[in-house]
Amino acid sequence: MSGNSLSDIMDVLSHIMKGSVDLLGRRQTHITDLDEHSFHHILQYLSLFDVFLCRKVNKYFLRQIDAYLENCRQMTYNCKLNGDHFFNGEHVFNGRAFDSVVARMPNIRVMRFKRCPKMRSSLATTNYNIVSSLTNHLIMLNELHLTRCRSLDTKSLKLLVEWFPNLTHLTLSVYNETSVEIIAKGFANLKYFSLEDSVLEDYGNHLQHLGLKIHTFVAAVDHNNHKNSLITGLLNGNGRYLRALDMRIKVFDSDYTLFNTMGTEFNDLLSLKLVFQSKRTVDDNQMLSGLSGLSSLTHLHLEENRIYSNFQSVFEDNSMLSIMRNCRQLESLSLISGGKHAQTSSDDNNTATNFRSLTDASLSMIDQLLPNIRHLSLKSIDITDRTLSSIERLYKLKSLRLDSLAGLTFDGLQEFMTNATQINRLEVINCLNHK
Amino acid sequence: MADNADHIDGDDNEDVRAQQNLIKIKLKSSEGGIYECGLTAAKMSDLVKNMVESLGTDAVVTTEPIILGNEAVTDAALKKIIEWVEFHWDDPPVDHDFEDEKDRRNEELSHWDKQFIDVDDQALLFDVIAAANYMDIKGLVEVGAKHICSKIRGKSCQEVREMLKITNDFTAEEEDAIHKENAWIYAKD
Repeated sequence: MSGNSLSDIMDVLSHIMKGSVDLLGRRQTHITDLDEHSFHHILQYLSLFDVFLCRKVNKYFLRQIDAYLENCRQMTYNCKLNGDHFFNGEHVFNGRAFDSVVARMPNIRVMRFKRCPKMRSSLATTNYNIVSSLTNHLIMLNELHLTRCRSLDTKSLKLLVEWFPNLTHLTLSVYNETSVEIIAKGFANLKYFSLEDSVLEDYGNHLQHLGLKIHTFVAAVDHNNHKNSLITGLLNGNGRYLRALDMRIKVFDSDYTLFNTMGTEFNDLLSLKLVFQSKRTVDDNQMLSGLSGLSSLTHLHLEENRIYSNFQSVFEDNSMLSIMRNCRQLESLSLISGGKHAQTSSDDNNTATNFRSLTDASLSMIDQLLPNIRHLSLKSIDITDRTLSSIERLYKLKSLRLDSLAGLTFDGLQEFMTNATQINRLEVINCLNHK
Repeated sequence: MADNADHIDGDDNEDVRAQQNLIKIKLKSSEGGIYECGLTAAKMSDLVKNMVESLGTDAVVTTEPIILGNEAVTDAALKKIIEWVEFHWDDPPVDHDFEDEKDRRNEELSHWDKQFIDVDDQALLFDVIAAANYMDIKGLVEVGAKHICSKIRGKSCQEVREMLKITNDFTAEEEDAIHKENAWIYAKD
C-alpha cells in the first residue's frame, strides 16, 4: 500500500470520525455548518427561554446565540424566563433572572412585560428595581411597556427620564399625579403614552406638557370623573393633535357638552376608543352626536359596560345616525353593549323597561353611509336581519363579528353567509333567535 | 425581437405569472446536476430573480443553465428546492389587514410544508436551509427554521444534542459557568 493511499484513508476516517462525511464518503451537513444568518433565522422562531436554554448545547450554539441576543431589538419578558419562584403562594419577580437576561441583550429598543396574571402579580409585589437594571444594561431603549409595577416610584421614574430621554412609546401604571408631570415634561419625543391600570386623581393639567410628537394617548380609568379636565389638559397642549385616543369614562347627563367639545376640537383624530359606564338618568336622544364632528375618524370603538338599575344607555340611534352621516372615512367600527341591566333586589317588579340600544333605525343604513367599512364588530344591540342585509352590501368588509344579537334569525344568517362572500373572517356567537 | 416574457417581466398579474411559469429555465447544482424549473417559481429565489433580470429572460431560457455554486446546493437539495418553489409560486400574499393572521402563519407550518420538510436525512435538511439561504428564498428558509424549532422546543440541552447529532465540546468548568448564569433555565438538565 502506497503512502498516499494510506494518508487518503486516514483522511476519510478522520472525516467520518468528525461526522463531516458518511461511510460512503458523502458530505454530511450538520446544524453547526449553517452560516450565522441561517442559524439566527432558526433562533428567531424559538421562545427566548429556549434560546437561553440552548446556550449550553455546545460552543457553536453559545457563540451564535450570544451574537443573536446582542443584536435583538425587542423582547417580551415572560413568566417562563422569570422562573417559577413562589413566596407565600405568590409569584415572585426574579430580579437576578431579569438582570442576567437584559445584560445579554444590550441593544434592545422595545421592552415589554408579558400581560399575564402571573407576571402582573409578580410585578405588583416586587421591590426589585427594574429601572436600575434597564439603565445598567440598555443603551437604546425606545419603547417600554410595563404595567402595575410596585417598584416604580418617582425616583426611578426620574432615572428613566435621565437615561432614556428619547423614549417614544411608554405604557406605565402610575399612582400619583406628579409621575404624569415627570413623564409629560421629561420625554419630549413621546409618541405613544398609555396610563393603563394607573390610579390617579385629577391629572389633566399635566397633560398639556406632552411633547410635539404625541399621537396616541390611553387614559387612566376615570374613577372620580375628571374626564373634563383631562380633555382640557390635552387640548391646551400638543394633545389637541392626537391621532388616537382611548378613554374609559363614566357618562353623566351633563356630558353632552364633553362629546361636543371632543368632536369640535380633536380635528386630527383617526382612532377613538371609548368605554362607558353609564350614570345617565335622563333620556336624551343626542348624547353622543357631538362625536360626529370627528370627520377624519377611520377607527371607532364604542363600548358600554353593563348598565345597572335605572340608568339609561349611552347608545341610541339618533347619535349613531349622526356619526354615520359625518364620519364617512370609517373603516373599522365596533359597537359593544354590555347587555340589558340586571334587576336589583328592591326592584323585583320593575324590569329594565327603559333600556334603549342601537337598532335597525340607524344600522340598517350602514351600507349607504359607511361603504368603506372593512372591520365590523357588533355585540348585544337590537338589530335584525334588516341590518344584516345592509352589512351584506358592504363590499369592502373583510372581518365581521356578531355577538349576542338575539334579533337575527337562522334563515337570515344562512342567507347572509351564502351571499357575503367578500368576508374573510366571520365570527357568529350566540346569535340565534329561537322564537 | 424580444421574447414575450421580457414584456411581462415585473407584472404581478396572476395570469401573467402563470404564463411565465410555463417558461422553463435550467438550474445547475454545485455537484453538476441540471434541473428545469418554471420561471415564476425560480424567481422566488432573489438570487435567481436578480440573475434573470440582469441577463434578460431570453438569455436565461436559451443559453447555459444558471450555476448555483454554493456547496450546500447539492443535487438532492436543489431538487427539494425546486419542488418547494413549484408548489408555492402562486401562493396568495399575506393580507396585512389581519395582523394576527400573520402571527398565526408565523407560528404554524401548513400540512404540505410539514410533510415536505420532515425528511429523515438531516444532512439534506440543513443543505436545503443553507441552499435556500444562499439562493435567498425567504419562505423556504422560514419553513426549515420553523421545522427545526419545533424539534428543539421543550427539549433539554442533552436531548437537543442527541436530536441534532452534535457533541458537547464544553469543558466541565465552562458548562458549569453557563449553568450558574441562568441556573433556573436548566432545571431539566
